[in-house]
Amino acid sequence: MSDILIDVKNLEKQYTTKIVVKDASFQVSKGMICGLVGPNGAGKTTIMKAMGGLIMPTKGTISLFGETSEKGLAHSRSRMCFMIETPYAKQNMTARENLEKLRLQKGLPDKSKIDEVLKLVGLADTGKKLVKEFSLGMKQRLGIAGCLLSDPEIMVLDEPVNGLDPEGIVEIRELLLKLNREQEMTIVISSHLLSELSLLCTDYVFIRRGEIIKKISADELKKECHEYFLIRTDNDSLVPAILQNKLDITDIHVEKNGAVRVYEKTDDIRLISKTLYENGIIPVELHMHDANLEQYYMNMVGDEDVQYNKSTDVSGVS
Amino acid sequence: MYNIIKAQMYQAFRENGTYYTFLGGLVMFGISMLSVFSDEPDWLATTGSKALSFGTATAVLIFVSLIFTARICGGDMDDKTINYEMLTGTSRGKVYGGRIIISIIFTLLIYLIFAVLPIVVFTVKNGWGYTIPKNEAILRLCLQFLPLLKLVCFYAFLTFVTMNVGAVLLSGVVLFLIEAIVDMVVTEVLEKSARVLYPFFSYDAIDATNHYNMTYGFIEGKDVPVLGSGISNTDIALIAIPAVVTGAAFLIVGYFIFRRKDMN
Repeated sequence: MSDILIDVKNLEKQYTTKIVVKDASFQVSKGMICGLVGPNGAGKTTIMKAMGGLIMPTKGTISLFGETSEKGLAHSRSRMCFMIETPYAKQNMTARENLEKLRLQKGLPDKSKIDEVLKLVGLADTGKKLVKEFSLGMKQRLGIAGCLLSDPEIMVLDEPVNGLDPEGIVEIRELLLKLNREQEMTIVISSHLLSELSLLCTDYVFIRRGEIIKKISADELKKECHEYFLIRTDNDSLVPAILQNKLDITDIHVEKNGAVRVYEKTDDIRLISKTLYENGIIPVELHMHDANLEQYYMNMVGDEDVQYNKSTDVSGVS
Repeated sequence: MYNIIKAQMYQAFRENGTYYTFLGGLVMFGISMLSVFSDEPDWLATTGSKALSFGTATAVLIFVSLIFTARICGGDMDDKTINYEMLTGTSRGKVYGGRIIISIIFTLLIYLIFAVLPIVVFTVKNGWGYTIPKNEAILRLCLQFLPLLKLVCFYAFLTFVTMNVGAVLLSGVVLFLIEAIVDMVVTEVLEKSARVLYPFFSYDAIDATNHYNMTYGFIEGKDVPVLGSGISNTDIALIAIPAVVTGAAFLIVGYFIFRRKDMN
């Protein structure tokens, strides 16, 4: 079987006249932690709901574990778990009762698994406390406990750290990393906390207004976000060769517009500019870049979307 | 589907609403019994066959089955827990079918409790009596369950289409009132037989099997209600066939709507 577990192709969802997801395509491979990044209303939840079979795509296909038929998709979903929007739980039942109902529904034979997952998410001592008395963070943990009940191969989590306190956020992050590392669990996660995603994800899918605007791996992103000198000169084409020959700099990236990014010896701007000058190149722009995921996101969506993002509450992006 | 049924059963017996609904039904049934027995000075001597002719459970059955069906089919839509079932790989057919089966099981239970149990109790206490022969009684008891089943299918259909328990409960009450008004117009203003309503209205169809062709006879020195003649094949068909056909139609149409419905 291919390593690609989720394959979304040309997905489109339209509600009467409004298209909320447009021609979205991306793949998720085994072991990936794929972050869906975008402001509220970008279409992240819609994509997740379509993957979960909660909404019917207007166009396009979704393949899960290589299955595309209705029956095959339903079977594939039994190997996955989803936590979309607010975790669903019966408010007048306890955490244990909710998990017992879920266990019966999934037809899982092992009752002891309930204690195990409750302990794992720190809800083992909630006793007879009803879910309606839980904090949002506790409900999120219960949702994750429900996810873990059936040892899924893929977890799809929509804003899983929403409402958690800082300690809870760290715990959930460590739990997800542990599951990914030890059980090779594939995770698709969305969050508006970009700093949080940057600590988790191996890959990113950036979504804006229902369209996927960029897909990038964490390594590529790191490279793009990494501290570098951006050099523009009166003759950009000669710069890479000069830097390689004279300064032995090999970690260089030439942008489409010809500008050169230098990832090495970034602490010695004088040496670089002097070398270029001595070789007849006049730097017209030379400055340091040190971007993180948030800045990268903001640079990518541009000024136009800053207003859009602000109006749709992209917390963590400033 | 068996897993869905097990999970739904587990949930139903842990929800206070289940017990409150049943208690409400009991109170309603008690009031209905009191109103019947207030006209029966010798009510303690009621026989099992006579108890069948009272028809005290008809309205109770309609309202309690309405509440149970709306809660079973729609309760998990209000808090979105129904989404979990689909997200964990349960097909929509099973999600739908499991709830329909549970609704029918609960309706059967309340039918046995409110419609059959009193007959059993009075039979144990005072014997079967002369009002209706046993085989006719069994036929009528089976027959009156079918229009109730049709109602359950209709309520389930409404719940899966509207995804709103409140709207379904309100629709059920409005439907009951419409049936009562139309019944009154047909039987009292137009002076026609309620038979014309059997295929359409569950209340008339259920109630008909209680009172159908009853007359009075003088037996063992007492005036007792007795059967004039058994229920005719035409009336059996008028009650059973539309109930089964329309009930099935509601379920099929409901499924095809739910199958493609977005769970937002």
